[in-house]
Amino acid sequence: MLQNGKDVGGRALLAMVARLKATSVVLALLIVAGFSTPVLAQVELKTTVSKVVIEPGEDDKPVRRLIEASNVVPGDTLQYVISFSNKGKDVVDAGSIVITNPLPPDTVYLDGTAQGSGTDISFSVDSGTTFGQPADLTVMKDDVQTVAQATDYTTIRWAFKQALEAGKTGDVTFSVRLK
Amino acid sequence: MRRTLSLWLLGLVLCLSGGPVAARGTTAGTVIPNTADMHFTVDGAQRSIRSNTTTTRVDEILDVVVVAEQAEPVTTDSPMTEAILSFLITNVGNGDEDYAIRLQSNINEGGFDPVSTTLYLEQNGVPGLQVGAGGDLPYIEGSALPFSANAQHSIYVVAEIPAGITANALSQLRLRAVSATLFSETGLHDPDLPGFPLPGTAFPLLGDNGSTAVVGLSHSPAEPVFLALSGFRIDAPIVTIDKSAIAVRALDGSAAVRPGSVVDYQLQVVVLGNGAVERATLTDLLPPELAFIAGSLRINGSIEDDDFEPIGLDAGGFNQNQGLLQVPLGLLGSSTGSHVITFSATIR
Repeated sequence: MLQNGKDVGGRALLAMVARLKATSVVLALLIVAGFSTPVLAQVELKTTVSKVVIEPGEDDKPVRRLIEASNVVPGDTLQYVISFSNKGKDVVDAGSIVITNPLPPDTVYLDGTAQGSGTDISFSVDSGTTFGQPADLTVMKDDVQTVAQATDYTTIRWAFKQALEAGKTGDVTFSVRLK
Repeated sequence: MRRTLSLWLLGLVLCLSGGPVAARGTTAGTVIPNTADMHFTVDGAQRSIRSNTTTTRVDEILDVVVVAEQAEPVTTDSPMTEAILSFLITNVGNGDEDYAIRLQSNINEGGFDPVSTTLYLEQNGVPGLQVGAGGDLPYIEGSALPFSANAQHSIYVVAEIPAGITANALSQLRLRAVSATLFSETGLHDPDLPGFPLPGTAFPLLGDNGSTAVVGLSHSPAEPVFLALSGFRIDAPIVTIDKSAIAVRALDGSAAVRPGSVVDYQLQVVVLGNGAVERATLTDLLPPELAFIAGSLRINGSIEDDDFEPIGLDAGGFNQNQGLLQVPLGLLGSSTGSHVITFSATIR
């Protein structure tokens, strides 16, 4: 494209390329910014599983040991740990953290094994629709409403009281027996 | 996991199981997932995140229980062409497995061995062994018999009992169910051989759905239950002796019982039940008040002399020195009928 003997088309093209480059840089910056400061990625949640073995220790006292859950058979005990960490810069609001874990299929909860420092632990017998303390949970057995047993639980919930400061971590745990 | 898809056996299992049965424990190969959720707020803004999902695969336990369905040895005659034992075999593991049924029939110590044994598999749903059309199926010892988890099969052992076995003699047999996976990996099917796998022995990837196969507690050397003992006992007949005074003759011709009277005695030996006893001898110790009358002994109506000559051949008679009547009866059994011995004595 020639105009007044000058290649205006070439300049326009260069300008367009320059604008595109600038736009790309902005887009790239936006993309990088989008991934570097997402609220969703501020807190990480991780679950791990171990097999619980009881071995004779000193004076033949049983010792509880955790090993890799690579070989499990019915009757084995599995321990799950759910750990979380605040990797962002913001504080997670106090009293807002709630972790729920539906019990794994083909397992039964082992009474008293749900733990979590600074948490209120409650259970559900209706797949997480409602939660309550063990004494308040009931199920129907043989057409009679009875207090639920640990084996009736379907879901565990941990409610944290404290805030989670940036850089802080925590964890909760529970154990089940493989049916 | 090892299965042999023999069509007739597969059909057999489907027929016997009568549909799905509940497995003992979570089925081998099942993957157990776990995921947690977390809800929280940052500056009042609601957020939710989800954890990774852990997965745990359930291993297959190789566990089988063999039970002899008769608590005591089965009584039988000698000889007997078909003496029967029954065993119930249950796959108590959590996976599908072929088991080979093996019989050991020569383990008795001081007892006897069957002439031959044949195995049958319960097939027609009618308790007990039925042979022939519509009956139970012959089972080839050591062949693969598929068991789904919790499935059961009954095995019958038909034994031919030899002749000439004495009463109460015992024969011991041991039936065992050997996992096809275990056998294919070790080449061993006899728990008495060194190297037979112990509970806990693992065979990676050989369980159902790629899981690890693990030898279960039924293979504990201290208390193995993947095998069971049973056996036969030769029936002992019940021998009864009925002694009675069938006549009394006083010197005056009356039947008064007093010194000088002659009493005719009868001893009847009857055998009840099956089986036989050998080298039976009847003895009767006369009290001092009775004097045996020479020549009065009769065995089944035939005259028997009083002496014991020739020695070794004639063991029947009356020993005057001991006051002992002695009558050899030899083999006693239901087929030999009863024996009647009579003699007379004088009241001193």
